[in-house]
Amino acid sequence: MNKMNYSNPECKQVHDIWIELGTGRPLTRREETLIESHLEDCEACRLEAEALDMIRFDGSAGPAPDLDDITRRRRIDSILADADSHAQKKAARSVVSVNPFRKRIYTGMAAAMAAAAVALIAFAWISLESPGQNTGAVTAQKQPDVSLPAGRTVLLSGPVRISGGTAEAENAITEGTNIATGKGKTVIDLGTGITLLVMEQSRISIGSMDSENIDVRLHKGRIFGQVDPARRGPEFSVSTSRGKVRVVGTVFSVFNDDDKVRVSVFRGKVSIDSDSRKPEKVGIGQCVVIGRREREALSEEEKSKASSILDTLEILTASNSSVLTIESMPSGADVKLDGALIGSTPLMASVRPGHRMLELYRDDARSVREYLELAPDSTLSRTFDMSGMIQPGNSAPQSAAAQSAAAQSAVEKSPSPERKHPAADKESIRPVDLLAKAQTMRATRKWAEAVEAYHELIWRFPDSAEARSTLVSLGTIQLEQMEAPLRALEYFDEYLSKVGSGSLAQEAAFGRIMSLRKLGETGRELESIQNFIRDFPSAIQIPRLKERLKELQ
Amino acid sequence: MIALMQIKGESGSKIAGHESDYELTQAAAAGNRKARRQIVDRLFNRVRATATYIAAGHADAEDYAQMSFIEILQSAGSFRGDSSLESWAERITVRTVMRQVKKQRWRGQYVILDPVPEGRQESMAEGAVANRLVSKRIAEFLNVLKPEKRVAVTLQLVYGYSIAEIAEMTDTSVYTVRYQLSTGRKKLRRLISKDPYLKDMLEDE
Repeated sequence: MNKMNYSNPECKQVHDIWIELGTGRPLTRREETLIESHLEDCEACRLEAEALDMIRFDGSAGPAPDLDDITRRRRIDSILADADSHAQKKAARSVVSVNPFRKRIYTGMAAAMAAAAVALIAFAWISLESPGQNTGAVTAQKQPDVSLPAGRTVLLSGPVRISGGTAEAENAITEGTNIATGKGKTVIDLGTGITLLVMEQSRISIGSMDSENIDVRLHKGRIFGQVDPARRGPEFSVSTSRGKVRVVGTVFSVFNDDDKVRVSVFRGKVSIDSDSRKPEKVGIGQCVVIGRREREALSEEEKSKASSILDTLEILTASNSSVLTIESMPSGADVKLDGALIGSTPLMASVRPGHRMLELYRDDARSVREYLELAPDSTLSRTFDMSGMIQPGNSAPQSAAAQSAAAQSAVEKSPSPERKHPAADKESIRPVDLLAKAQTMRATRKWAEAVEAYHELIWRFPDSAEARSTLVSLGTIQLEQMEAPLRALEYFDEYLSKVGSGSLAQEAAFGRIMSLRKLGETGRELESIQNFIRDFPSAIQIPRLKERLKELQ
Repeated sequence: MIALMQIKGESGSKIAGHESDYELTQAAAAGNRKARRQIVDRLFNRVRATATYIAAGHADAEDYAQMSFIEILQSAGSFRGDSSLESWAERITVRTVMRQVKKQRWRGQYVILDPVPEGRQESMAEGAVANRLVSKRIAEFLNVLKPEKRVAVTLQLVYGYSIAEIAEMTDTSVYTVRYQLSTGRKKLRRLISKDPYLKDMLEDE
């Protein structure tokens, strides 16, 4: 019966005792002595005992992904709201179930009228019932109040006009607001988990914005949207002259170029209502022109662009943000934060606080790089004189001193952000310190802080072994905790291209497969699985990867 | 190590406070929002952990946890207080998740492990971080087991339930549970002994 052969008969004896302990009986003295002496001699049993001892429930979520406090609270709210909703449905069903009984007493119309009256009374009762009141066996309570959504700009890059005037940082967005981007672009946060990038040469207006519905009208140009799938609140849609795109939780873009309206879906799915066709769903990796039957797969270029935009959106936030104003002379320099291209100067962005690496480029040559520490609810301005400092092909960053001389900076509000250069305190901070800091953040589920600490490590000590390993950690966090498989894929790929056959190659290769799977890139996933099986034939993931391979084939 | 050999029922922690648990669930059943929130908050990690273990890291594990919570809240009125709130809720979670797991063909989902940087295992293998790494690794191994074995092994090793309790929770006989534990743990042992990462982490600790 036993497929497992024990190297020592005593191992089996100990193992059997461990199983039997599950009956609840205490250890005898003999058994206790046997186990203790055996564990001193047998490495396999000792390892097993130590490992299994560490998985005992300790109050944490175990193998489930860690959640930060806000997400946890939201999840609990969602559970309670769902439970309320179930209770209401149950109450409604119980009202309807009165009908057959009533039918025996009354007939025809009288019964129907009675049931309708009961339903109406029940509906009124449910509507008026205040939360927390005792409602008997079935609890019927109001759905949690959904406050009116409020929107504002979180990025202004180049000239943007809002309702006829020049846009300002954190401009309020309400029903009826018009936005015209011209040569600039903007990102607006519409609250309730909706973020929209309005691209250059686009015009939109907010058709409705209330607790029931948020409708954005795209008159011209292109918008790129990210909608949190876990959001609760008003329905969200994008209206165009050719039809309406209803969005649940997804990453998508809509392009209205007057002749046609093209919808691309990068994650999740959307539903399109148009006059010419019945409602249709468009899923991940597809794009469709509204009114036409044909569907196309997204091109690699579009996916790559979407990945880059998502990186930008990830840095921006509407709450506790640090408002960053970047100008350059001349204007039009590309601005990157933490490697993500967020726009070009002049630029105003509401950025997540923390450590950020700011880079300004002109003509594809790196020209300025600065390390920023951004405090919550602070404002920071930087102006860079970039006239004549670019030599074609020169990609070397300026020194901190040169940057400081070139920059006129003004901190408008405390706390004061601090500028640093990686070399400045290199002697006092070691890679291992930064790694420990990142690991602490990670262990306490502070994912954004962990990512920042990892970035700082890469930035300060780009050639260290820790920085290389960090790529895999970053990939794992992006994949598991931040739902950013595209970015995760980039980290895993970077590790594999830099380190190749390092000790984390197996983890990186596996992470790569999982990223591709989440992205729905089945062709590349298949190829990666085949490579994994070839390169790591004894890996623990092999049986399941083989099974997945069969599915894909 | 001895903790491995103890079962939870002996510790006494599970037994305490049943009267207040009873009052809490009755209040929740009567629609008291504060009580409902308190129950979800208290059981949040446990139910998510259980759902993820049993669903073997399946992408829908969070949904299963949510379904379990709804069942728990809907059944709050039936809690009699003859066991702890935790084990009562665990029973509901196990049944709810198993129902879902049985519905679909097992596809094998994966939990990605926290990597250990080159040459830095010792700095990471400390306290909670090391525990977390080991937990995730073992969770990976548990995912290899068939659902019934995984449930039995998880309930025994993670939550410390006795064979009789597991049999009751899963509606099977103690003989079946004993067999599932025996074969499941043997497989687990084989995986543990062959895993170089786990060995590194435990030896460095």
